[in-house]
Amino acid sequence: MHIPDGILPLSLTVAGLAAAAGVTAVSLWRIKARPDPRADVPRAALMTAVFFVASLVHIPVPPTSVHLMLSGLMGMLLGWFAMPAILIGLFFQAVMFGHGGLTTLGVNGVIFGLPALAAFGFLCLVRGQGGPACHAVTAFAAGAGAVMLAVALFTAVLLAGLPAHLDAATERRAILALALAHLPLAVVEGLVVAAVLGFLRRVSPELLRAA
Amino acid sequence: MPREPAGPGPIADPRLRILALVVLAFGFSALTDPRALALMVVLTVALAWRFGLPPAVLARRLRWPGVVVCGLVILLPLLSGETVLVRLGPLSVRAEGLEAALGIALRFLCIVAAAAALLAPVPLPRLVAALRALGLPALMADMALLMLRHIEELRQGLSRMRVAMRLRGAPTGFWSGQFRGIGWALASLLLRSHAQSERIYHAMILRGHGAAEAAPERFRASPGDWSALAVLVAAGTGLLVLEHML
Repeated sequence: MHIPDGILPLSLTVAGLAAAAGVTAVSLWRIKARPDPRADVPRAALMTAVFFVASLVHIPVPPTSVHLMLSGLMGMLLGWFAMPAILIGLFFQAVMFGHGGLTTLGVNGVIFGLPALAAFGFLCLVRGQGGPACHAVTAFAAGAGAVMLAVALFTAVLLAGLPAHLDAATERRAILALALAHLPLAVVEGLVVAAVLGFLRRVSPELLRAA
Repeated sequence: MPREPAGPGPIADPRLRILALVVLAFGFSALTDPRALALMVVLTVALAWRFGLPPAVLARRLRWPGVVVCGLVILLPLLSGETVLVRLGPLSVRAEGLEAALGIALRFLCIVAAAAALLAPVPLPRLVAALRALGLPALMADMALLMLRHIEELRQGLSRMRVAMRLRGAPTGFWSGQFRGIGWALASLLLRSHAQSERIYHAMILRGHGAAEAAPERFRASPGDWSALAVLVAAGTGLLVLEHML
């Protein structure tokens, strides 16, 4: 779901960069308002590394395989740290593997970062409600929902930025195809996020509370 | 003050390499005219040659994003445009889609090649220090430096845990609950690495990292560095001007 260099026009890449910079500035402002802004840096760095490594872990989903995105997990574990963490992870993915792009860093940051912040907001809304089953459903919904929101943003940006005209019927088919293709990833990611959060809730709940 | 270690190519200072790449990459992404695209290819070949870009490094960077770009390059000529060039049974190759696909492929190749030529030789911690010197917030620079220490460790840890799970006879198919095993492996790896991450960061702070009076890492650009940057910026902006004139 990373948009590579060369596809989007300059106006869209610059707008994406401005949007990502704006969201990151708000995130950093919220972080700096904390009593000790540096306290959560190790956890954020660790999750950034997990976000980076997740793109190398392939899970077989017949007839192909998918790799985890983990935006929802980033949002739920890091809160406001999620946006800067995702931007750093995307930058190194682009520099080390060419995964994503440098001109599209802002656009990709928005595609991955907004779902992470949405998952964080969702967790804040439902925090402390219900038992273990309810927590698992919440984690699944946040993980899977983040993937589907990212797919929606990815599709919208790609169709708006393609330097070629597609008729309305082709656009509808492309949107449907992309959504269906990513549905297994959303399910897998929701299940993995629910498993991670369930484990952490039982073994180390302070990691969840910190966000 | 010591000079920057001489890397391949005419720019040693990593800050100037980043600036040159930003100008070239964003300049390239705005080109659509075939003549401007041809000049972009010439400039990229010259850049790759002058900065000594090994073909294997470029090939490695084309593997991941190449899938998305290949998909678009194959589909666009078939789906977009009115002017039919060739009919292949039920499929028609259209001129407008073909032109857009070629533009995408060339811009993609040139930006990836420019990024590989300028940034691949720079060690990653040095790259973070250069970004910090260019204005990256200290908090993000700290996260980036710590992340670099964790990547290889996490990758090896996850790989070891998956092998151990398989050896213990854990199910491996999608329908047999493999996702839960991956989730638990990921969570226990997080727990294990979290304490270590905090220890490393606190040790860095005790050694003076991030202190107000600590001297920041300094860079020194030579006149040759500035000249090479000026040439690359002029070339990038020149292509943009040409695009608007054509």
